[in-house]
Amino acid sequence: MTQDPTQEDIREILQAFELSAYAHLELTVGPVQLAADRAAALPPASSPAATACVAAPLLGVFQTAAEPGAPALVELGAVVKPDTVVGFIRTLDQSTAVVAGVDGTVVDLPVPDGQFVEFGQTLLRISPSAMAAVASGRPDQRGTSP
Amino acid sequence: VTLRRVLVANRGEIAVRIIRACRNLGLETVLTVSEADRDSLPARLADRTVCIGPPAATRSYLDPRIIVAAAVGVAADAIHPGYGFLAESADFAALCGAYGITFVGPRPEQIRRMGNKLEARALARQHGLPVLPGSQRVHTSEEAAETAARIGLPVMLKAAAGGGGRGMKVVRELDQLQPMLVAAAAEARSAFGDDTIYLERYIPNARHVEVQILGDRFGKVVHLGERDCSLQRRHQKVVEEAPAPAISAALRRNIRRAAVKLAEKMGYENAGTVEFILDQDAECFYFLEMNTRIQVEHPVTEAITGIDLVEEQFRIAAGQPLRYSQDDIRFAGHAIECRITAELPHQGFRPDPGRITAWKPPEAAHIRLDSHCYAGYLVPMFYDSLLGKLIVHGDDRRQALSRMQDALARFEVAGIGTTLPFLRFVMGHPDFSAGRVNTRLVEDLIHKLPEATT
Repeated sequence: MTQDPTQEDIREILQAFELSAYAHLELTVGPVQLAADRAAALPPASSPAATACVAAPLLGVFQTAAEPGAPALVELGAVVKPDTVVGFIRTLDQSTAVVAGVDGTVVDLPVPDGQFVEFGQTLLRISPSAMAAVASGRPDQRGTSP
Repeated sequence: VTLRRVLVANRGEIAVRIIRACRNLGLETVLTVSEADRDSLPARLADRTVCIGPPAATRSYLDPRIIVAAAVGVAADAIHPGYGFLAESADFAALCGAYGITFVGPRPEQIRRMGNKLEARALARQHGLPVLPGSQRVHTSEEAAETAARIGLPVMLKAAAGGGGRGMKVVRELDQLQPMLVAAAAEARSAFGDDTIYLERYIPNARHVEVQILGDRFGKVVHLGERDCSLQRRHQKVVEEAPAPAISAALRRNIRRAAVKLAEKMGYENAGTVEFILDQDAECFYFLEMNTRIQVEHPVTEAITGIDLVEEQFRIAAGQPLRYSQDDIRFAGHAIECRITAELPHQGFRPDPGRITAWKPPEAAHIRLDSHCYAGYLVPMFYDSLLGKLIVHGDDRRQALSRMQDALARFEVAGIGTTLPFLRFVMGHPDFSAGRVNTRLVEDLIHKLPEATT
Protein backbone atom coordinates (compact mmCIF):
# COMPACT_ATOMS: atom_id res chain seq x y z
CA MET A 1 0.00 0.00 0.00
CA THR A 2 1.31 3.43 -0.91
CA GLN A 3 0.47 6.31 1.35
CA ASP A 4 -0.26 9.74 -0.02
CA PRO A 5 2.78 11.99 0.39
CA THR A 6 2.74 14.38 3.32
CA GLN A 7 3.85 18.01 3.18
CA GLU A 8 7.09 16.81 4.73
CA ASP A 9 7.60 14.28 1.92
CA ILE A 10 7.02 16.92 -0.73
CA ARG A 11 9.41 19.27 0.97
CA GLU A 12 12.01 16.50 0.97
CA ILE A 13 11.44 15.71 -2.69
CA LEU A 14 11.79 19.37 -3.62
CA GLN A 15 14.97 19.76 -1.61
CA ALA A 16 16.49 16.70 -3.24
CA PHE A 17 15.50 18.21 -6.60
CA GLU A 18 17.08 21.57 -5.68
CA LEU A 19 20.34 19.80 -5.00
CA SER A 20 20.20 17.66 -8.14
CA ALA A 21 21.62 18.40 -11.56
CA TYR A 22 18.22 18.12 -13.21
CA ALA A 23 16.28 21.04 -14.65
CA HIS A 24 12.72 19.77 -14.58
CA LEU A 25 10.67 17.54 -12.31
CA GLU A 26 7.26 15.94 -12.83
CA LEU A 27 5.82 13.52 -10.36
CA THR A 28 2.45 11.96 -9.68
CA VAL A 29 1.86 10.04 -6.45
CA GLY A 30 -1.77 9.16 -5.74
CA PRO A 31 -3.77 12.38 -5.84
CA VAL A 32 -0.68 14.59 -5.70
CA GLN A 33 0.82 16.04 -8.84
CA LEU A 34 4.08 17.87 -8.62
CA ALA A 35 5.91 19.87 -11.29
CA ALA A 36 8.96 22.04 -10.74
CA ASP A 37 11.67 23.77 -12.71
CA ARG A 38 15.10 24.62 -11.48
CA ALA A 39 16.25 27.94 -12.89
CA ALA A 40 19.87 27.40 -11.91
CA ALA A 41 20.05 23.99 -13.58
CA LEU A 42 22.61 23.34 -16.24
CA PRO A 43 21.39 23.17 -19.81
CA PRO A 44 19.99 19.68 -20.26
CA ALA A 45 21.89 17.16 -22.30
CA SER A 46 20.78 18.30 -25.72
CA SER A 47 22.31 15.82 -28.09
CA PRO A 48 23.09 12.14 -27.82
CA ALA A 49 26.69 13.07 -28.57
CA ALA A 50 27.08 14.67 -25.11
CA THR A 51 29.92 13.17 -23.13
CA ALA A 52 29.42 11.27 -19.91
CA CYS A 53 31.55 12.34 -16.99
CA VAL A 54 33.06 9.84 -14.62
CA ALA A 55 33.00 11.49 -11.21
CA ALA A 56 35.15 10.68 -8.19
CA PRO A 57 33.02 8.42 -5.96
CA LEU A 58 34.91 9.68 -2.94
CA LEU A 59 37.70 12.07 -2.04
CA GLY A 60 41.34 11.02 -2.26
CA VAL A 61 44.32 10.76 -4.56
CA PHE A 62 43.55 9.68 -8.14
CA GLN A 63 45.70 6.88 -9.49
CA THR A 64 45.61 6.11 -13.18
CA ALA A 65 47.47 2.81 -12.82
CA ALA A 66 46.93 -0.31 -10.75
CA GLU A 67 50.31 0.22 -9.06
CA PRO A 68 53.08 2.81 -9.22
CA GLY A 69 55.11 2.52 -12.39
CA ALA A 70 52.54 0.38 -14.18
CA PRO A 71 50.99 1.64 -17.42
CA ALA A 72 47.80 3.71 -17.17
CA LEU A 73 44.61 1.64 -17.14
CA VAL A 74 43.06 3.72 -19.91
CA GLU A 75 44.46 6.11 -22.51
CA LEU A 76 42.74 8.70 -24.68
CA GLY A 77 40.70 6.89 -27.31
CA ALA A 78 40.35 3.72 -25.24
CA VAL A 79 37.08 1.87 -25.68
CA VAL A 80 35.47 1.11 -22.32
CA LYS A 81 32.54 -0.89 -20.99
CA PRO A 82 30.47 0.07 -17.92
CA ASP A 83 32.57 -2.17 -15.66
CA THR A 84 35.99 -1.19 -17.04
CA VAL A 85 38.24 -0.02 -14.20
CA VAL A 86 39.58 3.39 -15.24
CA GLY A 87 41.55 4.24 -12.11
CA PHE A 88 41.69 4.10 -8.32
CA ILE A 89 41.06 6.61 -5.57
CA ARG A 90 43.44 6.28 -2.65
CA THR A 91 41.93 7.58 0.60
CA LEU A 92 44.54 7.38 3.36
CA ASP A 93 45.56 3.71 3.11
CA GLN A 94 42.55 2.37 1.20
CA SER A 95 42.02 2.15 -2.54
CA THR A 96 38.67 2.25 -4.29
CA ALA A 97 38.27 1.23 -7.94
CA VAL A 98 36.58 3.68 -10.29
CA VAL A 99 34.60 2.19 -13.20
CA ALA A 100 33.58 3.82 -16.47
CA GLY A 101 29.87 3.25 -15.87
CA VAL A 102 29.05 3.50 -19.57
CA ASP A 103 29.96 1.99 -22.96
CA GLY A 104 32.03 4.38 -25.03
CA THR A 105 35.33 5.99 -25.90
CA VAL A 106 37.55 7.98 -23.54
CA VAL A 107 37.77 11.53 -24.93
CA ASP A 108 39.30 13.46 -22.02
CA LEU A 109 41.57 12.70 -19.07
CA PRO A 110 41.63 15.96 -17.11
CA VAL A 111 43.16 14.58 -13.89
CA PRO A 112 46.81 13.51 -13.90
CA ASP A 113 48.07 10.55 -11.88
CA GLY A 114 48.66 11.34 -8.21
CA GLN A 115 46.43 14.39 -8.02
CA PHE A 116 44.13 14.98 -5.04
CA VAL A 117 40.48 15.00 -6.11
CA GLU A 118 37.31 16.05 -4.32
CA PHE A 119 34.11 14.06 -4.11
CA GLY A 120 32.23 14.34 -7.41
CA GLN A 121 35.17 15.80 -9.35
CA THR A 122 35.29 14.77 -13.03
CA LEU A 123 38.03 12.19 -13.56
CA LEU A 124 37.45 11.45 -17.24
CA ARG A 125 34.97 12.06 -20.01
CA ILE A 126 33.58 9.36 -22.20
CA SER A 127 31.79 9.69 -25.49
CA PRO A 128 29.07 7.06 -25.23
CA SER A 129 28.73 4.59 -28.11
CA ALA A 130 25.56 5.08 -30.22
CA MET A 131 23.72 2.21 -28.54
CA ALA A 132 24.55 3.49 -25.05
CA ALA A 133 23.42 7.02 -25.91
CA VAL A 134 20.02 5.79 -26.99
CA ALA A 135 19.68 3.64 -23.90
CA SER A 136 20.60 6.30 -21.34
CA GLY A 137 19.28 9.46 -23.00
CA ARG A 138 20.28 11.66 -20.09
CA PRO A 139 23.49 11.80 -18.13
CA ASP A 140 22.98 9.58 -15.15
CA GLN A 141 26.38 10.06 -13.61
CA ARG A 142 26.95 12.07 -10.51
CA GLY A 143 28.90 15.25 -10.80
CA THR A 144 27.97 16.22 -14.32
CA SER A 145 28.41 19.81 -13.25
CA PRO A 146 31.81 21.33 -13.94
CA VAL B 1 54.40 24.16 15.73
CA THR B 2 53.63 26.93 13.30
CA LEU B 3 50.15 26.70 11.85
CA ARG B 4 49.60 28.09 8.40
CA ARG B 5 46.60 26.37 6.82
CA VAL B 6 43.56 25.10 8.70
CA LEU B 7 40.95 22.62 7.57
CA VAL B 8 37.64 23.79 9.01
CA ALA B 9 35.78 20.48 9.40
CA ASN B 10 32.29 21.71 10.15
CA ARG B 11 29.43 23.70 8.69
CA GLY B 12 26.88 26.37 9.56
CA GLU B 13 27.44 29.15 12.05
CA ILE B 14 30.44 27.54 13.77
CA ALA B 15 32.27 27.26 10.42
CA VAL B 16 31.75 31.00 9.92
CA ARG B 17 32.97 31.60 13.48
CA ILE B 18 36.15 29.52 13.02
CA ILE B 19 36.96 31.12 9.65
CA ARG B 20 36.68 34.55 11.27
CA ALA B 21 39.13 33.54 14.02
CA CYS B 22 41.55 32.17 11.39
CA ARG B 23 41.44 35.46 9.51
CA ASN B 24 42.29 37.39 12.66
CA LEU B 25 45.26 35.09 13.20
CA GLY B 26 46.39 35.24 9.57
CA LEU B 27 45.65 31.54 8.97
CA GLU B 28 44.55 30.21 5.58
CA THR B 29 41.24 28.34 5.63
CA VAL B 30 40.00 25.32 3.70
CA LEU B 31 36.39 24.43 4.44
CA THR B 32 34.98 20.92 4.09
CA VAL B 33 31.59 20.97 2.37
CA SER B 34 29.09 18.27 1.55
CA GLU B 35 27.19 18.54 -1.72
CA ALA B 36 24.39 20.30 0.18
CA ASP B 37 26.74 23.01 1.48
CA ARG B 38 28.71 23.94 -1.64
CA ASP B 39 27.08 27.38 -1.82
CA SER B 40 26.91 28.10 1.91
CA LEU B 41 28.04 31.36 3.51
CA PRO B 42 31.14 29.79 5.09
CA ALA B 43 31.97 28.28 1.67
CA ARG B 44 32.10 31.82 0.29
CA LEU B 45 34.16 33.11 3.22
CA ALA B 46 36.79 30.35 3.22
CA ASP B 47 39.92 30.67 1.07
CA ARG B 48 38.90 27.43 -0.62
CA THR B 49 36.52 24.54 -0.16
CA VAL B 50 36.85 20.83 -0.62
CA CYS B 51 33.79 18.71 -1.35
CA ILE B 52 33.91 15.70 0.97
CA GLY B 53 30.80 13.76 0.00
CA PRO B 54 27.05 13.60 -0.42
CA PRO B 55 24.68 15.47 1.94
CA ALA B 56 24.29 12.56 4.40
CA ALA B 57 26.59 13.39 7.33
CA THR B 58 27.66 9.77 7.81
CA ARG B 59 29.26 9.88 4.36
CA SER B 60 30.71 13.38 4.73
CA TYR B 61 31.13 15.34 7.99
CA LEU B 62 31.07 12.23 10.20
CA ASP B 63 33.63 10.18 8.28
CA PRO B 64 36.99 10.56 10.08
CA ARG B 65 39.02 9.04 7.24
CA ILE B 66 37.53 11.34 4.63
CA ILE B 67 38.19 14.43 6.77
CA VAL B 68 41.82 13.48 7.48
CA ALA B 69 42.35 12.57 3.80
CA ALA B 70 40.99 16.01 2.89
CA ALA B 71 43.46 17.68 5.26
CA VAL B 72 46.35 15.66 3.79
CA GLY B 73 45.13 16.38 0.25
CA VAL B 74 45.06 20.16 0.71
CA ALA B 75 48.23 20.18 2.86
CA ALA B 76 46.52 21.62 5.95
CA ASP B 77 48.58 21.67 9.16
CA ALA B 78 45.58 21.63 11.49
CA ILE B 79 41.93 20.61 11.70
CA HIS B 80 39.39 22.55 13.73
CA PRO B 81 36.42 20.24 14.36
CA GLY B 82 34.01 22.85 15.77
CA TYR B 83 31.30 21.18 17.87
CA GLY B 84 29.19 18.12 17.08
CA PHE B 85 30.22 15.79 14.23
CA LEU B 86 33.76 14.55 15.06
CA ALA B 87 34.63 17.14 17.72
CA GLU B 88 34.55 14.63 20.57
CA SER B 89 35.83 11.57 18.74
CA ALA B 90 39.06 10.41 20.36
CA ASP B 91 39.68 8.10 17.39
CA PHE B 92 39.44 11.04 15.00
CA ALA B 93 41.84 13.13 17.09
CA ALA B 94 44.27 10.19 17.15
CA LEU B 95 43.96 9.72 13.37
CA CYS B 96 44.84 13.39 12.86
CA GLY B 97 47.95 12.85 14.96
CA ALA B 98 48.91 9.72 13.02
CA TYR B 99 48.98 11.79 9.82
CA GLY B 100 50.92 14.65 11.39
CA ILE B 101 47.97 17.02 11.52
CA THR B 102 47.33 19.15 14.60
CA PHE B 103 43.90 18.50 16.08
CA VAL B 104 42.62 21.77 17.55
CA GLY B 105 41.38 20.36 20.84
CA PRO B 106 42.52 18.24 23.75
CA ARG B 107 44.64 15.12 23.49
CA PRO B 108 42.87 11.94 22.35
CA GLU B 109 43.12 10.22 25.76
CA GLN B 110 41.51 13.25 27.44
CA ILE B 111 38.61 13.14 24.99
CA ARG B 112 38.25 9.39 25.56
CA ARG B 113 38.19 9.62 29.37
CA MET B 114 35.60 12.38 29.41
CA GLY B 115 33.57 10.80 26.61
CA ASN B 116 32.61 7.93 28.86
CA LYS B 117 30.37 9.49 31.52
CA LEU B 118 31.02 6.70 34.02
CA GLU B 119 34.76 7.14 33.69
CA ALA B 120 34.39 10.90 33.93
CA ARG B 121 32.37 10.53 37.16
CA ALA B 122 35.03 8.25 38.61
CA LEU B 123 37.79 10.68 37.69
CA ALA B 124 35.90 13.64 39.20
CA ARG B 125 35.26 11.74 42.42
CA GLN B 126 38.91 10.69 42.60
CA HIS B 127 39.92 14.35 42.47
CA GLY B 128 37.53 15.31 45.23
CA LEU B 129 34.68 16.84 43.18
CA PRO B 130 31.15 16.21 44.42
CA VAL B 131 29.28 13.77 42.17
CA LEU B 132 25.60 12.84 42.32
CA PRO B 133 24.76 9.64 44.21
CA GLY B 134 24.49 6.96 41.56
CA SER B 135 25.53 3.60 40.26
CA GLN B 136 28.05 1.87 38.10
CA ARG B 137 26.81 0.19 34.95
CA VAL B 138 23.47 -1.51 35.61
CA HIS B 139 22.94 -4.87 33.92
CA THR B 140 19.49 -5.87 35.11
CA SER B 141 16.33 -4.13 36.24
CA GLU B 142 16.77 -5.78 39.68
CA GLU B 143 20.14 -4.09 39.98
CA ALA B 144 18.60 -0.80 38.89
CA ALA B 145 15.79 -1.17 41.43
CA GLU B 146 18.32 -1.76 44.22
CA THR B 147 20.21 1.40 43.27
CA ALA B 148 16.99 3.39 43.00
CA ALA B 149 15.99 2.23 46.46
CA ARG B 150 19.38 3.26 47.83
CA ILE B 151 19.55 6.75 46.30
CA GLY B 152 15.82 7.46 46.34
CA LEU B 153 13.37 8.35 43.56
CA PRO B 154 13.26 10.16 41.23
CA VAL B 155 16.35 8.89 39.43
CA MET B 156 17.84 9.67 36.06
CA LEU B 157 18.87 6.91 33.67
CA LYS B 158 21.87 7.93 31.60
CA ALA B 159 23.89 6.48 28.76
CA ALA B 160 27.59 6.16 29.61
CA ALA B 161 28.47 7.08 26.02
CA GLY B 162 25.79 9.78 26.03
CA GLY B 163 25.55 13.34 24.87
CA GLY B 164 22.95 15.76 23.60
CA GLY B 165 20.29 14.42 25.94
CA ARG B 166 19.85 11.12 24.15
CA GLY B 167 19.48 8.00 26.26
CA MET B 168 18.41 10.08 29.28
CA LYS B 169 15.20 9.22 31.15
CA VAL B 170 13.74 10.44 34.41
CA VAL B 171 12.08 7.69 36.48
CA ARG B 172 9.60 8.87 39.11
CA GLU B 173 7.86 5.59 40.00
CA LEU B 174 9.49 2.23 40.65
CA ASP B 175 7.21 0.40 38.22
CA GLN B 176 8.46 2.64 35.38
CA LEU B 177 12.05 1.62 36.00
CA GLN B 178 12.10 -1.57 33.96
CA PRO B 179 10.44 -0.23 30.76
CA MET B 180 12.44 3.02 30.94
CA LEU B 181 15.66 1.06 31.33
CA VAL B 182 14.87 -0.94 28.19
CA ALA B 183 13.98 2.25 26.29
CA ALA B 184 17.10 4.14 27.44
CA ALA B 185 19.36 1.21 26.51
CA ALA B 186 17.77 0.92 23.06
CA GLU B 187 18.13 4.66 22.47
CA ALA B 188 21.76 4.59 23.62
CA ARG B 189 22.56 1.60 21.41
CA SER B 190 21.18 3.25 18.29
CA ALA B 191 22.65 6.69 19.02
CA PHE B 192 26.09 5.72 20.33
CA GLY B 193 26.52 2.00 19.60
CA ASP B 194 26.90 1.40 23.34
CA ASP B 195 23.97 0.51 25.59
CA THR B 196 25.75 0.98 28.92
CA ILE B 197 23.31 2.69 31.30
CA TYR B 198 23.84 3.99 34.81
CA LEU B 199 21.64 5.71 37.40
CA GLU B 200 22.01 9.08 39.07
CA ARG B 201 19.87 10.90 41.57
CA TYR B 202 17.54 13.31 39.78
CA ILE B 203 17.42 16.85 41.17
CA PRO B 204 13.99 18.38 40.45
CA ASN B 205 14.79 22.01 41.24
CA ALA B 206 18.10 22.07 39.40
CA ARG B 207 20.10 24.56 37.47
CA HIS B 208 22.70 23.75 34.88
CA VAL B 209 25.87 25.74 35.52
CA GLU B 210 29.08 25.16 33.58
CA VAL B 211 32.58 26.59 33.86
CA GLN B 212 34.69 27.51 30.83
CA ILE B 213 38.32 26.59 31.23
CA LEU B 214 41.46 26.94 29.13
CA GLY B 215 44.55 24.82 29.70
CA ASP B 216 47.90 24.86 27.92
CA ARG B 217 50.40 22.07 27.44
CA PHE B 218 52.56 23.41 30.27
CA GLY B 219 49.95 22.49 32.85
CA LYS B 220 48.51 25.95 33.36
CA VAL B 221 44.74 26.21 33.68
CA VAL B 222 42.49 29.26 34.01
CA HIS B 223 38.72 29.58 34.19
CA LEU B 224 36.71 32.20 32.31
CA GLY B 225 33.79 32.17 34.65
CA GLU B 226 30.58 30.20 34.45
CA ARG B 227 27.47 30.11 32.28
CA ASP B 228 23.94 29.26 33.32
CA CYS B 229 22.30 27.00 30.75
CA SER B 230 19.24 25.97 32.72
CA LEU B 231 16.80 26.81 29.95
CA GLN B 232 16.64 23.52 28.06
CA ARG B 233 14.15 21.62 26.00
CA ARG B 234 14.65 17.87 26.00
CA HIS B 235 18.10 18.39 27.51
CA GLN B 236 19.05 20.72 24.64
CA LYS B 237 20.04 24.22 25.63
CA VAL B 238 17.81 27.06 24.41
CA VAL B 239 19.08 30.14 26.27
CA GLU B 240 22.42 30.66 28.04
CA GLU B 241 23.76 33.49 30.13
CA ALA B 242 26.94 34.57 31.87
CA PRO B 243 27.62 35.03 34.69
CA ALA B 244 25.15 32.66 36.40
CA PRO B 245 22.51 34.82 38.11
CA ALA B 246 21.40 34.61 41.72
CA ILE B 247 24.02 32.37 43.29
CA SER B 248 26.06 33.18 46.37
CA ALA B 249 29.64 34.39 46.02
CA ALA B 250 30.87 31.34 47.93
CA LEU B 251 29.04 28.89 45.69
CA ARG B 252 30.29 30.64 42.56
CA ARG B 253 33.87 30.53 43.84
CA ASN B 254 33.64 26.85 44.77
CA ILE B 255 32.21 25.79 41.42
CA ARG B 256 34.93 27.65 39.52
CA ARG B 257 37.62 26.15 41.75
CA ALA B 258 36.29 22.64 41.29
CA ALA B 259 36.42 22.99 37.50
CA VAL B 260 39.98 24.31 37.53
CA LYS B 261 41.07 21.55 39.88
CA LEU B 262 39.70 18.80 37.65
CA ALA B 263 41.36 20.29 34.57
CA GLU B 264 44.67 20.75 36.40
CA LYS B 265 44.67 17.20 37.72
CA MET B 266 44.23 15.75 34.24
CA GLY B 267 46.65 18.19 32.60
CA TYR B 268 43.83 19.30 30.37
CA GLU B 269 44.93 20.96 27.16
CA ASN B 270 42.81 23.43 25.11
CA ALA B 271 39.29 24.76 25.72
CA GLY B 272 36.89 22.70 27.79
CA THR B 273 33.73 23.04 29.83
CA VAL B 274 33.03 21.39 33.16
CA GLU B 275 29.28 21.01 33.68
CA PHE B 276 27.60 20.97 37.05
CA ILE B 277 24.12 20.46 38.40
CA LEU B 278 23.17 23.01 41.00
CA ASP B 279 20.64 21.83 43.58
CA GLN B 280 18.86 25.09 44.40
CA ASP B 281 17.05 23.66 47.42
CA ALA B 282 20.17 22.23 49.06
CA GLU B 283 22.51 25.01 47.79
CA CYS B 284 25.12 22.53 46.62
CA PHE B 285 26.55 21.40 43.30
CA TYR B 286 27.56 18.15 41.63
CA PHE B 287 29.86 17.33 38.73
CA LEU B 288 27.87 16.29 35.67
CA GLU B 289 30.31 15.88 32.78
CA MET B 290 33.08 17.61 30.89
CA ASN B 291 32.79 18.70 27.28
CA THR B 292 36.12 18.54 25.48
CA ARG B 293 35.39 21.04 22.70
CA ILE B 294 34.32 24.58 21.98
CA GLN B 295 30.65 24.88 22.94
CA VAL B 296 27.75 26.41 21.11
CA GLU B 297 27.25 28.93 23.91
CA HIS B 298 30.89 30.13 24.11
CA PRO B 299 30.01 33.69 22.93
CA VAL B 300 28.43 34.70 26.25
CA THR B 301 31.78 34.02 27.93
CA GLU B 302 33.58 35.98 25.22
CA ALA B 303 31.15 38.87 25.75
CA ILE B 304 31.93 39.24 29.47
CA THR B 305 35.68 38.51 29.32
CA GLY B 306 36.69 40.04 25.98
CA ILE B 307 38.69 36.88 25.21
CA ASP B 308 38.29 35.15 21.85
CA LEU B 309 38.05 31.48 22.77
CA VAL B 310 38.52 30.10 19.26
CA GLU B 311 41.68 32.14 18.76
CA GLU B 312 42.94 30.83 22.10
CA GLN B 313 42.22 27.28 20.91
CA PHE B 314 44.55 27.81 17.94
CA ARG B 315 47.30 29.34 20.11
CA ILE B 316 47.13 26.44 22.55
CA ALA B 317 47.08 23.87 19.73
CA ALA B 318 50.19 25.53 18.28
CA GLY B 319 51.92 24.89 21.60
CA GLN B 320 51.94 28.45 22.91
CA PRO B 321 51.63 29.06 26.66
CA LEU B 322 48.48 30.75 27.96
CA ARG B 323 48.79 34.49 27.79
CA TYR B 324 46.69 35.02 30.92
CA SER B 325 46.95 34.34 34.59
CA GLN B 326 43.72 33.99 36.51
CA ASP B 327 44.06 37.54 37.84
CA ASP B 328 44.31 38.94 34.30
CA ILE B 329 40.83 37.71 33.49
CA ARG B 330 38.26 40.39 34.23
CA PHE B 331 34.53 40.03 34.03
CA ALA B 332 32.41 42.89 32.76
CA GLY B 333 28.62 43.06 32.65
CA HIS B 334 26.16 40.34 31.69
CA ALA B 335 25.51 38.46 28.44
CA ILE B 336 22.58 36.37 27.19
CA GLU B 337 22.41 34.10 24.16
CA CYS B 338 19.29 32.79 22.43
CA ARG B 339 19.57 29.89 19.98
CA ILE B 340 17.34 30.45 16.97
CA THR B 341 16.39 27.23 15.23
CA ALA B 342 14.25 26.33 12.20
CA GLU B 343 11.55 24.66 14.26
CA LEU B 344 7.83 25.26 14.76
CA PRO B 345 7.11 25.94 18.45
CA HIS B 346 3.37 25.38 17.99
CA GLN B 347 3.87 22.00 16.35
CA GLY B 348 6.03 20.34 18.96
CA PHE B 349 9.17 22.03 17.64
CA ARG B 350 8.99 20.09 14.39
CA PRO B 351 11.95 21.01 12.14
CA ASP B 352 10.97 23.33 9.31
CA PRO B 353 13.79 23.48 6.77
CA GLY B 354 13.33 25.37 3.52
CA ARG B 355 14.25 28.60 1.81
CA ILE B 356 14.66 31.79 3.84
CA THR B 357 12.99 34.64 1.95
CA ALA B 358 13.73 37.42 4.45
CA TRP B 359 16.51 37.61 7.06
CA LYS B 360 16.67 40.92 8.88
CA PRO B 361 18.60 40.68 12.14
CA PRO B 362 18.78 43.65 14.51
CA GLU B 363 22.07 45.52 14.63
CA ALA B 364 23.68 47.45 17.48
CA ALA B 365 27.02 47.68 19.25
CA HIS B 366 25.80 45.44 22.09
CA ILE B 367 24.38 42.79 19.71
CA ARG B 368 26.34 39.90 18.21
CA LEU B 369 24.83 37.46 15.75
CA ASP B 370 26.66 34.23 14.92
CA SER B 371 24.91 32.84 11.86
CA HIS B 372 25.39 31.43 8.38
CA CYS B 373 21.94 32.50 7.16
CA TYR B 374 20.91 35.14 4.63
CA ALA B 375 17.86 35.95 2.52
CA GLY B 376 17.70 33.32 -0.21
CA TYR B 377 19.55 30.63 1.76
CA LEU B 378 18.10 27.13 1.55
CA VAL B 379 18.22 25.53 5.01
CA PRO B 380 19.07 21.91 4.23
CA MET B 381 17.07 19.19 5.93
CA PHE B 382 20.10 16.98 6.46
CA TYR B 383 21.58 18.68 9.51
CA ASP B 384 20.60 20.22 12.82
CA SER B 385 18.21 23.13 12.68
CA LEU B 386 20.35 25.86 14.29
CA LEU B 387 20.02 29.07 12.26
CA GLY B 388 22.00 31.35 14.49
CA LYS B 389 22.79 32.60 17.95
CA LEU B 390 21.73 36.04 19.07
CA ILE B 391 23.99 37.38 21.82
CA VAL B 392 23.52 40.64 23.71
CA HIS B 393 25.67 42.30 26.33
CA GLY B 394 24.64 44.78 29.01
CA ASP B 395 26.07 46.40 32.12
CA ASP B 396 23.94 44.10 34.24
CA ARG B 397 21.38 41.32 33.80
CA ARG B 398 18.45 43.70 33.71
CA GLN B 399 19.94 45.73 30.87
CA ALA B 400 21.05 42.62 28.97
CA LEU B 401 17.56 41.18 29.23
CA SER B 402 15.83 44.34 28.04
CA ARG B 403 18.27 44.51 25.13
CA MET B 404 17.57 40.87 24.28
CA GLN B 405 13.81 41.50 24.33
CA ASP B 406 14.28 44.47 22.04
CA ALA B 407 16.62 42.57 19.69
CA LEU B 408 14.23 39.61 19.43
CA ALA B 409 11.31 41.94 18.72
CA ARG B 410 13.19 43.51 15.81
CA PHE B 411 14.48 40.23 14.31
CA GLU B 412 12.54 39.44 11.12
CA VAL B 413 12.69 36.09 9.36
CA ALA B 414 10.35 34.89 6.63
CA GLY B 415 10.05 31.80 4.47
CA ILE B 416 10.59 29.24 7.21
CA GLY B 417 9.26 28.79 10.73
CA THR B 418 11.62 29.70 13.57
CA THR B 419 11.69 29.60 17.35
CA LEU B 420 11.77 33.42 17.53
CA PRO B 421 8.17 33.66 18.80
CA PHE B 422 8.94 31.19 21.57
CA LEU B 423 12.16 32.99 22.51
CA ARG B 424 10.27 36.31 22.73
CA PHE B 425 7.77 34.67 25.04
CA VAL B 426 10.44 33.11 27.28
CA MET B 427 12.52 36.30 27.48
CA GLY B 428 9.38 38.25 28.43
CA HIS B 429 8.32 35.83 31.14
CA PRO B 430 8.54 37.09 34.75
CA ASP B 431 10.15 33.85 35.96
CA PHE B 432 13.13 34.41 33.70
CA SER B 433 13.49 38.11 34.47
CA ALA B 434 13.38 37.33 38.20
CA GLY B 435 16.09 34.68 37.78
CA ARG B 436 13.64 31.98 38.91
CA VAL B 437 14.97 29.40 36.49
CA ASN B 438 15.48 25.69 36.57
CA THR B 439 15.92 22.94 34.02
CA ARG B 440 12.15 22.42 33.73
CA LEU B 441 11.16 26.04 33.08
CA VAL B 442 11.18 25.77 29.27
CA GLU B 443 9.01 22.64 29.24
CA ASP B 444 6.57 24.40 31.58
CA LEU B 445 6.46 27.51 29.38
CA ILE B 446 5.85 25.54 26.19
CA HIS B 447 2.37 24.75 27.50
CA LYS B 448 1.69 28.41 28.27
CA LEU B 449 2.84 29.71 24.90
CA PRO B 450 0.00 31.88 23.56
CA GLU B 451 -1.46 30.49 20.34
CA ALA B 452 -1.36 33.84 18.57
CA THR B 453 2.35 34.70 18.97
CA THR B 454 3.97 35.43 15.67
